[in-house]
Amino acid sequence: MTGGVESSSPSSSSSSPSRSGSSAAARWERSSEVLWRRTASGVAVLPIDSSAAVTLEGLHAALWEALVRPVPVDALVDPLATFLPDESAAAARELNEAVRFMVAAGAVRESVEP
Amino acid sequence: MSVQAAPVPAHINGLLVPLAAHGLAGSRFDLPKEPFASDDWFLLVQICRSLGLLGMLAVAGQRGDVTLSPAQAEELAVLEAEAAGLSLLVEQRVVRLSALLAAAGVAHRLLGAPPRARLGYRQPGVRTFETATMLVEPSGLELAVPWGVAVERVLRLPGGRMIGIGDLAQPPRQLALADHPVPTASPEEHLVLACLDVAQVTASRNGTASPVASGPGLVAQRDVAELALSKEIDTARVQQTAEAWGVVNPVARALAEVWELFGLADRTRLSVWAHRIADPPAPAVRTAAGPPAPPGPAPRVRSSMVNRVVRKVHRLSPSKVVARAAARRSTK
Repeated sequence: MTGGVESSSPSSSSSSPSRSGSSAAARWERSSEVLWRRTASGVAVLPIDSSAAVTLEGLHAALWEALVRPVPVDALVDPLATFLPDESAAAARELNEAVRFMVAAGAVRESVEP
Repeated sequence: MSVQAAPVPAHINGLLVPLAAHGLAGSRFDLPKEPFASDDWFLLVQICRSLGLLGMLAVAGQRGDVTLSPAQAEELAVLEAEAAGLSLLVEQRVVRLSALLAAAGVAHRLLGAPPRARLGYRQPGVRTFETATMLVEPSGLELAVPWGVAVERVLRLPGGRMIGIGDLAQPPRQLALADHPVPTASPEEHLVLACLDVAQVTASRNGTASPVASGPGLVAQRDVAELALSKEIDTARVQQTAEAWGVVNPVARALAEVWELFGLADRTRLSVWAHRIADPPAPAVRTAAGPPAPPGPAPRVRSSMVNRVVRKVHRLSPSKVVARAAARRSTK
């Protein structure tokens, strides 16, 4: 467990990065309380109450760009396919891990919008 | 033991203006494709770091406009990430200070690099910074000032005039930082202030009476270019602000200088106005020497201008960086 976010088992739902309190249809979005800027190689993010910035590259940077509006994880597999393994279960697992990392970093949150 | 500052090699100096212009709309500079020798790379990175040009160098590397080894690319990515993180920390302090001032009912405006980057730059991420300025009404000066933010009651302009909150546009432009509205100056006011930074650096380099330059140099010139080329800029408002603050001449000269320095191809209402004031028509006796140049595309960049720029940049080069590089070479 990292930063208060539970890890999911490989067999967990592909649309639910956290087993606690997230429905299968959970949608994820950028936290509004985050300062960020694009760099040449990715995106640097700093939650407003954090003391350290995180640099996102590759899949994580692409995920940040994709989460400009609330999106379920399932809907991210195709757009981010170039950063993911070909095998669908592995791709879903990697994507879930990336979302969990960004939630733990304070950069991403579950959307509360209906 | 003291280390003599070594001159920056001309081929490194010659890279700085093209780097500062890299990615700028309408600039006609190209960067050399030759790979960097180890010493050159060390020196270039340190100078770019101190001049605020790391973001431009990183984008040039990412796009393949300069040739980097894998190790150089990795080093640059790390340094750029550090610079980006530092910039975000400055903005974080800005948000906190602004919230504090707003809660206390103190009028304030964010000035300096953060709003210039976010309001003026096509790619705000290339503009890194380590400080911001908060202009506050006098009652706000007693509040604790966080690291990275300079708090000022007035700004002193060339000619001695001072401007405060009341001289800036009302209502203020709101800059959203992490969804927190931070009041700032208008884009036109930011452009005028950036021009005055350029004018100050230019004056200090020419040895005229001027406060010691704080060293914004090339990055301030880039600020001017980005803001001046921004779609948001209203030429009439720039002119009105410059007139109201009594700084028409330094603003026009800075704009004309930036257009020449970066070899900007685009002629805008603002650049035409600036050149008309900064470069008034020559007297008739001089024009008798030959016919006027035929109309047509602007020359790429005059070599005399490049030489002058190289000399200016050379004086800007931080001696500590050069000394460090010299010491590094001498230990080999």
